Amino acid sequence: MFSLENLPKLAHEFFSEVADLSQLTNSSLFLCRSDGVPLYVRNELNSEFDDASVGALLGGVWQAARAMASFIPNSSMEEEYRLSFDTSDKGIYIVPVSLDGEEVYLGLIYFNEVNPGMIKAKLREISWRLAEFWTMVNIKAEVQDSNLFNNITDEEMDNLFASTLQ
Amino acid sequence: MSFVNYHSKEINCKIVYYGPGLGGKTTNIQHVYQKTSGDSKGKIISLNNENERTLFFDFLPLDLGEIRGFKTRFHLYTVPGQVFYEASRKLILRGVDGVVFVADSQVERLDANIESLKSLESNLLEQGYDMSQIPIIMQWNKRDLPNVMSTEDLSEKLNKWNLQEFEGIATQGNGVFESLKHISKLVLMNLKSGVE
Repeated sequence: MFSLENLPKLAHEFFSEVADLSQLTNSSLFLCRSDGVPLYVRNELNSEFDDASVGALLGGVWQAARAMASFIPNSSMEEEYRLSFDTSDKGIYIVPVSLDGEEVYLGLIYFNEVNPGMIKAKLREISWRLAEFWTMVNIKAEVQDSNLFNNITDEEMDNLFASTLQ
Repeated sequence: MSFVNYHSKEINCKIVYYGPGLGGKTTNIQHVYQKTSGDSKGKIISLNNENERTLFFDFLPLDLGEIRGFKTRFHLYTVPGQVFYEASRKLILRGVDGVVFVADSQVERLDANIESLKSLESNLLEQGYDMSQIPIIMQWNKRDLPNVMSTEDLSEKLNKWNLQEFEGIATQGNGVFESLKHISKLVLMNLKSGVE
């Protein structure tokens, strides 16, 4: 079970107060779970951008790349992989961050960047700082074995879907 | 797995439509997309090959209303049904909260249904689940075609777990929301609580 209950709140705190994002202009920064659920998004792109879609694609592309990487002789998933898809001035860069043994992904979509190497290095540094920050401030959520909801009725489900249907 | 954000009072869950090739998985989520109001749905993403067959996955984020104070968001995925995309199916099943198995009711597709069900069972097992530990429902799709098996036969051949069954004609929307509502309910009732 995914155990990082506090992460969205702490990620917001980290990116707004701790991490220095001033060098990451012309870009969109996002933190996602391995199954594509977005945890934090800072969108500075003008293009149409949908958090959930970006998360799903990121989760998919990372998992696919990891599966392909398993064909590399003598490779180990313990090694620190990064994923880069870019031209000389625009692209996508993704790094994994391990928090309490759970892997999440920090990604950047950027354009008009004169020094992509510099912002990639910056993203890696942010990922290390995020892991440190997490270790320092996270108070672990107590996970109970009880269910969150008991006996949801069909009427509640109808109400849940009612506003969704055209 | 599902993610309950107590800070923002949001629930995110992942539902996967699984089943044999050309069984109607993509049609199911396309119907959901068509019938969902603009504010509630995100973009549908389809990674297809040149013949419009699912290559990696289809994805539809769906924002529903609130239940007991929690906003709910369901992430609907389909897997590619064609036999040779087993690796993709394994990847997409990771972190799944609930499965809709879309079976093709036609007599000649029974073997394909059985093969796909075996693949689901073994892929879930690789993640440490057996079929009775995770919410799953069966949808007998294509009920409008002339050469379909009876629902009793489908149950006997494909549903030894006595999972809830729904009949569907996904091309007309029949059974699509009934299946989605039911799997959503099972998934929500399966969520474990945590304390921040």
